[in-house]
Amino acid sequence: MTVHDDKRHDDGQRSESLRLGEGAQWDNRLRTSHCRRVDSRLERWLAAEDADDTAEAEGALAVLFSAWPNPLPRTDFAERVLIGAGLRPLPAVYPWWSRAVIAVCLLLAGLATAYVLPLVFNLVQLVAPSQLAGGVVQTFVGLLSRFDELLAIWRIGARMVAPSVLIATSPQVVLMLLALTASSVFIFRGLNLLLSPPRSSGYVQAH
Amino acid sequence: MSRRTEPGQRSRRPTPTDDELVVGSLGGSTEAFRLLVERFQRPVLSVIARMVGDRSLAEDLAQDVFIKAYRKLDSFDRQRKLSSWLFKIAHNTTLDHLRRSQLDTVPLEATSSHGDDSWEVLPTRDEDGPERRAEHAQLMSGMSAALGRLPPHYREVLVLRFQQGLAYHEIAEITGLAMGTVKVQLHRARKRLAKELAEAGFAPPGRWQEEKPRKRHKGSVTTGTGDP
Repeated sequence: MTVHDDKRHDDGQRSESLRLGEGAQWDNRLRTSHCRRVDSRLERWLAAEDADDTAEAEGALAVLFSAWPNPLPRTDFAERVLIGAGLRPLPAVYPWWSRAVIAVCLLLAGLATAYVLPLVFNLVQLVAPSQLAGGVVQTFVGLLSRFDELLAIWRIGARMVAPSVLIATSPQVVLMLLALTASSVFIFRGLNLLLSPPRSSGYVQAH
Repeated sequence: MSRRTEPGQRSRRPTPTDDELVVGSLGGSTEAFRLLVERFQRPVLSVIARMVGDRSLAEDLAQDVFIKAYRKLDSFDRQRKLSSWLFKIAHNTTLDHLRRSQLDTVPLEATSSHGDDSWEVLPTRDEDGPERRAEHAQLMSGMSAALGRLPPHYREVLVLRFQQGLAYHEIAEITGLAMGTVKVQLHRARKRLAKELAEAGFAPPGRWQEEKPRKRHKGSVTTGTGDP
């Protein structure tokens, strides 16, 4: 092969005469010094080009191209075009049933709150605020010198623990607390996801 | 264009023609436009993919083409072939992209004829064993790389002529060139592609000679070594 215009450097890069654009990838793997076995279709085309037989060369090249697999569009290609053209609304990021679940959780959270609050109030009433405050103040004043004043806080706490355990172990309260926890988690995640900006879904806006 | 009925669809309505789909789309039928897209998505995507060398980019550009086509559908001359009009939009869109990217050559794209459902699976020839199929796959990769090294206008005429099987006048209409220019560019593009493949080792050494510059004669097809 005779090269007239191209000056090949040792690293295989062409001269500026072939206008490489930015980011062009030069694939040196293909530039071997040994000849591969020539495909018969390629052979036919090259022979026709050698002979300057345009009709034969075009026929042979068409055969070669027909053996070259083409990319297939994705199955939702048409749908994405319709959305880009405004013929279909953008699909909701989260389907209707997920919103229904969040709504039910909100309802359960409301019910759970209404049910649990009276129990919480009952628990609080076991230890009146004035008694608790008094014990803390007394303890704070005589903290260093009167060790037994510390026991006042301990006794108040002990008084709270037993009834709390009793209430907390009742099945209804346990279930409601679990439902409340689950509902809270769902609500938090649901609101977080609904209010956050949609992720890129590959829809093209024509420019 | 006559109605087409596909095999196995005798009991269903015949396949609408391109003109019917255009009329339906202009009348506001989403289904008509969807059928239109499905009918031409593969050829449009194929042409763009060969031009830009990147499948996912080609999909984005192809979507862009159809969206623009929808918006300009009322200006489409129904006397023309719809495919040519779509290829024209694809031509403009792709060249705009290449100009913006300032790319004359495009990177090698991965092609596979098996084990990947995003590519066509073509029937293999009876005489092809596993070794020959591997060599063929390598040749196709080489073709892809060689095509990517050609200037965009050479790439385009080769793809339109040999991949899509378009006539010279159709290519002239799509590219906006004179028919004589299309023939010259095709000639040069073929020679250049052959040279690229030979230099990549897909032809025997010494088999392909670099073309010698010839003097231009009025009215004849001439060849040169460089780009016009």
